[in-house]
Amino acid sequence: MNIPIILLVLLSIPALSIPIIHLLFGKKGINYIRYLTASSLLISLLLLFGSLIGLISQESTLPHLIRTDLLGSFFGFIVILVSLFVVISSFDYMKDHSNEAIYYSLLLFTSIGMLLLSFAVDLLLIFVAWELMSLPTFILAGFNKQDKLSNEGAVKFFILGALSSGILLYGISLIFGLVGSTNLYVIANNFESLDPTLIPLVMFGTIALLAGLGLKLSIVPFHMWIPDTYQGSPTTVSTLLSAATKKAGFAAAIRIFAVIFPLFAFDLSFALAIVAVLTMSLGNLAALTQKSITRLLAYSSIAQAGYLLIGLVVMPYSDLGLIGLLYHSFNHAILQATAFLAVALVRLKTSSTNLTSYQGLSKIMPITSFCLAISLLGLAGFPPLNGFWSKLVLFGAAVDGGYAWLAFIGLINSAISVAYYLLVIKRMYMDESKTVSNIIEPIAFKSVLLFATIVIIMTGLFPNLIYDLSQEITNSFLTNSLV
Amino acid sequence: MSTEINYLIPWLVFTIPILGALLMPLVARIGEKIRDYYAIFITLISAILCALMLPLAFAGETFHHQVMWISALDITAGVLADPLSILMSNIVGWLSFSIMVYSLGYMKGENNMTRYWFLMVFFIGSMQLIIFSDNFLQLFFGWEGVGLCSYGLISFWNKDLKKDYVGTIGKKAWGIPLSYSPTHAGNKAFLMTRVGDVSFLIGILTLFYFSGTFDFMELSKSHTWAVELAKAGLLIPVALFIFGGAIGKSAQFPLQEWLPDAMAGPTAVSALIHAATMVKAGVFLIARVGPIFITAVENISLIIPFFEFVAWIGAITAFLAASQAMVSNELKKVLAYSTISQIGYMMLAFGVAGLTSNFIVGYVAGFFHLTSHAIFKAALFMGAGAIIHQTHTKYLNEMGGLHKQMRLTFIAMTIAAASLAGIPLLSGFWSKDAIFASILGVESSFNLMALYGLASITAIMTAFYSFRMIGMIFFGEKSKYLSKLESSGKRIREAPVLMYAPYVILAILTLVLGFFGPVYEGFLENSLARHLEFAVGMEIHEHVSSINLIAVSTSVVAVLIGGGFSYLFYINGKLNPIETVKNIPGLLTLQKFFVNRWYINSLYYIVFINGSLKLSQFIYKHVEVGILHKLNTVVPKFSIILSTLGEKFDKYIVDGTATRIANFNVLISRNVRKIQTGITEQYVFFFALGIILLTLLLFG
Amino acid sequence: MLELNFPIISVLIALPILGALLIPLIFKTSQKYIVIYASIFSFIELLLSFYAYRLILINGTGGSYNFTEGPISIIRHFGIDYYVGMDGLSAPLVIITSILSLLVIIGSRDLISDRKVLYYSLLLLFQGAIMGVFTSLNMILFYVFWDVVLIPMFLFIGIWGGPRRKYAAIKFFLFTFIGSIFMLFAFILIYFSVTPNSFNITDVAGKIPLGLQIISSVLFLIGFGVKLPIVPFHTWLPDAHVEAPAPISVLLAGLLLKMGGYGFLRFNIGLLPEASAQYAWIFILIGVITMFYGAFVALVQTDIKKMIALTSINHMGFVILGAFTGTVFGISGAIFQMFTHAAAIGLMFMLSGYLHKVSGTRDITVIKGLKFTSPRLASLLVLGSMAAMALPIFSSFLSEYMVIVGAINVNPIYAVTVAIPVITVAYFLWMLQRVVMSNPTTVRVRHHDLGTFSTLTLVLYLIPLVLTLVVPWLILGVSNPISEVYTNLISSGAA
Repeated sequence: MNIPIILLVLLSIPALSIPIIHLLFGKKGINYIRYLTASSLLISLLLLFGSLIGLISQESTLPHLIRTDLLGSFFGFIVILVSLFVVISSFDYMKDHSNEAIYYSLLLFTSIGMLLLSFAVDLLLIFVAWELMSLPTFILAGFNKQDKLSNEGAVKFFILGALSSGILLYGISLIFGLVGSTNLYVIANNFESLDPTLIPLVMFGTIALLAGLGLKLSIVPFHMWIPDTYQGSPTTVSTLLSAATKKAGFAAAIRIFAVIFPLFAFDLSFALAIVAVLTMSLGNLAALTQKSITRLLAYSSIAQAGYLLIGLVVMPYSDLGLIGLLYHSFNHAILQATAFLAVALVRLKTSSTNLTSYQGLSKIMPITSFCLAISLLGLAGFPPLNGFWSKLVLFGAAVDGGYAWLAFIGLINSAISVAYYLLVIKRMYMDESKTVSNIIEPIAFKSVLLFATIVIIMTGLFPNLIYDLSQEITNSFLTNSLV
Repeated sequence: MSTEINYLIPWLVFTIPILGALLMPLVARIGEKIRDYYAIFITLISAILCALMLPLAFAGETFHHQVMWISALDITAGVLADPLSILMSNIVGWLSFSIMVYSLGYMKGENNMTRYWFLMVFFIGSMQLIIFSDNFLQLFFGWEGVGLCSYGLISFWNKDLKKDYVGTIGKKAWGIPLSYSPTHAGNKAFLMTRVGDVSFLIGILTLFYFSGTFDFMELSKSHTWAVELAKAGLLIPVALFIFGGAIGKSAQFPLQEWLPDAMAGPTAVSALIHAATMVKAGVFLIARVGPIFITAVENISLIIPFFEFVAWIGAITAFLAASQAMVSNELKKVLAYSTISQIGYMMLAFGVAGLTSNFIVGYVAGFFHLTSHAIFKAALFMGAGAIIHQTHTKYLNEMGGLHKQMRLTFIAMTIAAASLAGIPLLSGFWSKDAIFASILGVESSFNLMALYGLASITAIMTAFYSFRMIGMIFFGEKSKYLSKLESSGKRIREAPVLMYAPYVILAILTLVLGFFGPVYEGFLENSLARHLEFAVGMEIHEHVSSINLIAVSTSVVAVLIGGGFSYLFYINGKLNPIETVKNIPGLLTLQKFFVNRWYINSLYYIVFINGSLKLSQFIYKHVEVGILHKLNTVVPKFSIILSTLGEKFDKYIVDGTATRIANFNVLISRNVRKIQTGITEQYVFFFALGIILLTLLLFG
Repeated sequence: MLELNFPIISVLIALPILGALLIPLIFKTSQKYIVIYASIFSFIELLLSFYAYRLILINGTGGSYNFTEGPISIIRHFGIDYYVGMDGLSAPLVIITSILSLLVIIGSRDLISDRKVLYYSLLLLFQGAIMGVFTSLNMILFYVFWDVVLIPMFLFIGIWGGPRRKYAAIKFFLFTFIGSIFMLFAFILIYFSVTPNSFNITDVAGKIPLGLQIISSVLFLIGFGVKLPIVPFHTWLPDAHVEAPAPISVLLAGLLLKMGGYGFLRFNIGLLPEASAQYAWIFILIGVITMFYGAFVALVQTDIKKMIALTSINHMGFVILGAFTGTVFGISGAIFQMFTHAAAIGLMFMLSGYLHKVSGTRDITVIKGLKFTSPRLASLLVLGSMAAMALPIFSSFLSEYMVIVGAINVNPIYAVTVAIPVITVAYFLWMLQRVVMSNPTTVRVRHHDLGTFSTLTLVLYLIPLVLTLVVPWLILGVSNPISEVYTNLISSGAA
């Protein structure tokens, strides 16, 4: 059966029905809505999982628009997992918010968008999915209407989002105009028959695509909106943005470049390598002096995008590139989600994202601080947590692909990054807290955090699980990418 | 004796004291008396064991027994019992026994006696270990062991009370104080000897590198190592490095400065360690390695410089120390200086042995002097100890006229001192005479003549200070201090029997040895000769020990001159020493020069101690803190700056550029303008800029 | 090449970690028997490692990897395996790890009072991790354990440390972590340089091209040099030591520094013999500089702990010196030196802790007449100092002079290193004179001494030193085979 279509239906039904339920039952209905959202996500998650481990065989209908392959399921799995986390933790985070119902339906719409994006192989569908993913997030980012910061962040986000969509569309149209198709594989096929003088234009189109995606991938120089937006918007939403939508963007990026790369590999890799260096260096350096933890995490996620780019850079030269990219996408999603959700919980309780409010947190909120510490160490790439393994693979890929210097810069960067992650941990575990009163950590939230943390540790202790999966996906993807 | 016992005895000689020492704390728990007798008993046992081996020495035979030690690097441990070691061990064993008995009386009522006995017994063990070691490494263990005990015993009174200080407090030379607390003296001794040890180690390790063994026997068997050393031009250096160890331990020039201050320890300790035994270890070492080197080189001339060096060091030290002994006002220090100087004689003898064609003469002379000196110097020290113990002063000018109160001590010490001075027919006379004779030896060269001259001058001084000491203690009228002491009701009488018995016996021994001097020399000669021939494999020319007239006359004359002067000064008091020194021009400065130890001590302090401290301070201040710690703060600071730059890069640069390009607002719709900040515009601008950059990257 | 019917090394690694995980569950309410609990685990470790050690010793199989387990793949297609084994280089370190951990756990009884649960679980975790470091045969596995060791140490310093503990902790962590990054880069480079790609030490040995060897030895120099530490990467050490509580200083100096020495031997000598042979003089020079520097800076310290810390810098100089002499003497000496230094310096740090407890300060110039106020402590201090100055009544003498013999074999010039012990002796004697002896009038005399139990535990530190002096075979019998192997590597590398 066809996973994406089923999921599309499965998720859009509640997404559409939520407003109606809300209308009918009002406040009382909110619990149904919560569970409906959560369960629908859970089911789709299970389906994706089934398809990943091969329980559910996928045969491809409408092959021109979407391609039902493992890669899609993988990214789908990631984004849905994160959304599920976000939804469950929102039970507490969004409690007593006027438009809570709408919030959930918007979340569902975004996840549908992300889902489509990770399966789409047609530039047009990519664009549509892109919009479907982005538009709800614009609203979500500004969900706290009364909060000025939130609004400002949201509007910036919106404008740049709109701009990126515009540029994306421009790129697509350019390529369509030149090659005469929007289906990636057709493009690949028609490319040989293309008049070589037009190649520069195709390149320019590609850059437009890159730039458009770049916004979501949060790569330098398309990253400036991130700190403001992450800080402004509700932290759960920031979680979604940093952990999920970025990954969906990468899914699209992989599909596009897997096709277009082989056509003029070198220049683009090198350009991307430069971008990667800029991205991670700037992210890490800027993170060093942040006062607010959300901004810190924002910059750190920029840096992480830099690491992910390494995978994209060496994709043509070494299979490890794609493997590492997939592997790190998963790990980073989990880690980032955990970190952000922990921050969300703290924000919920102390209504502050200021680093000073983390002093002695280990005594007040032991579980939260533990999860946060673990996830930060993971982001720092500290063994034996999962973040270490995937980074290792990425750097290995770089060396394998002849970009040893890139690997070295990456390593230096992770050395720098340790500094600011460590400072947070130090605040939590070594400084003395101002308040000594224990704060109750809500059960749902706590369980999400703990679950995620366990996943981090387990996938760290048994890296084979995800690595082998990523490799399997890579093989299947690279072998029959150009059908 | 059957070989059965034979192979255990040498082992037991040093293992019994060492293990016995380790048990000391437990024994002490039983009872103090038990502990004291236990300590002495152990010493006695080891002494008896030494005596049991004497027949071997008479037979001039050698016994060698080995066990595997560091099998991985096939380094063995073993014992080597030959005449040399057996005789030495007997001297050490019996002297230490007598001194231990003496300590019973001398240390009566002291606290921490457990520590005292422990260190003493452990010392004896280590000393015997040195003597019986059959290889350098094992020897070095004993070597360090004795150093450790000496350190512990010098600083035995480690409360550093003013009364325990050595040297007159407040006296300075070049701003460096000449008086030291016991603990300071201990450190000084340990460090200075350590310097010697280091050169010793360098020596034996390099030797090991060339020969692949530490074993004396193997070294004397195979001679290839010597050839290679000589080829590498390291033969003399290595020999000298090893000699450096001897210099340190035996307080020879230039490392002699620690011994005088070592007098801060209890007198019994000075008697045992700093007169009779430990300081002889250096001499013993030369006696061990000298023959090996001689036999190793195929051409004697290769090794000559080494022996010349030894001889000269000996002669110079002898002179240097004697000169200071003449002017010292502290009884024990006089003895200390004289010890240094006498050991100088021994070194001289061994050096000369190598220079003359007939090795055995000097060798025997040196060993002979070692024996006699050990005995009479121990006696002197113990006597001195008794006097200090009774009069509660260590200064000579606070004594005087004691020959009535302490008759026995008087007689014993006079005999010993006379022997030291070299009065004919006393042991000291024979041995010193033997040394002179050996210098005059067979052939004569400028070197030998110069050495001979130096030695004879030293002999004069020796006679002088010996009798000066006796005179100042026992003759003349009582010092004010003593009369005050007596008027305060304290009667000065003979020391308890436990104390005087040992040194009286030793004094008698001196007489006996004096009486049988030539006989003993003869015995030494043939047993050592056979040893050298068979064990070491050195060819010994037949040599009849005859009394060398020149030598005899020199020593007699020396005694007459030196002794005569001090008689006039101190015994019948015809001349007043202070007046004379004042009157004769130049003498005063000379005296000052001697009193201040030729300023060598001060020089060392200024250069090495203060110097290295200054250097260390400098490194710590300017390198560690000044550079490296700064670096540690600079690096983070730098990255912080970068980080802020990163933010600026985000905020201001973009900001500035954007505002400058005012008309780049095409894309911005009305509702954007609602936002007060202009930031978005710059974002948009930068977005575009990014695209342009990428394009350049691709096409450029 | 010994085999056992049960995975002894895995047990050595896993057992303490298991114990660590159980502690929070068991000791929720009362921490009464927590020390006993921890020491039981540590004691079993000790027995196990003795068992393993004994086998290697009597069979003389130090030259090869014994009790190997694996390779069991962690990441199948990326050459990351669980692969452990024990040879003549690891075995002495494993032993000393077990001994010190047990002694430290017992010793902490007197010196650590708060947050016990966390403390003891971290101790056990540390022990397990460092066991892993010394037995990993896969470079990435090695790296993982290497970094895992940092976390407990970071928390130890940061939570139980002195006034400037946070600064010291972070400095320590950053220094060592950044160092390890370079090491990791070298590992990755090596992985891709050999065919078939592998992270397993046994597979890559002898396959690394010279060019990469040189690059890697530079990277390793930074990675291991920070840990050892060599001048000028050493500045984290005094801070860490001064701030860390005494038992932790013992682990820090006794075990953590050994990781650096182990790394140099295992990787620079074992994997990069050509580079190490041709550029040995650089490393030897660094070693000598480190030794002299450490000794000289120690001379003027007034904080006894800082002095000891700097002493261990100068002692670890011997390790790098010995390693790169490429002679049996040198390499065996280096291994031996790591063993003896661990025991000797461990004792000294423990004593410094008690000293602080007894006299309320660690200032050498202030404490006086210790032997009158607390004789047991004083006499132990004297003994410990003797062990640290390498006097021939402890095996630290043998180890240091074995290294020097090795050095002289390379070039008689290196005999100058013999001067090091002199400086060491100088400042130790000076310290003893000021602290132990002299009249205890100036300082307020607090008449409490060590308890009998504490005294005994402290005496235990000296026993290995005396044993291995009388029977050096106990160490050399294990370390010599591997030293011979490495010596051959180096000599063939030089050719």
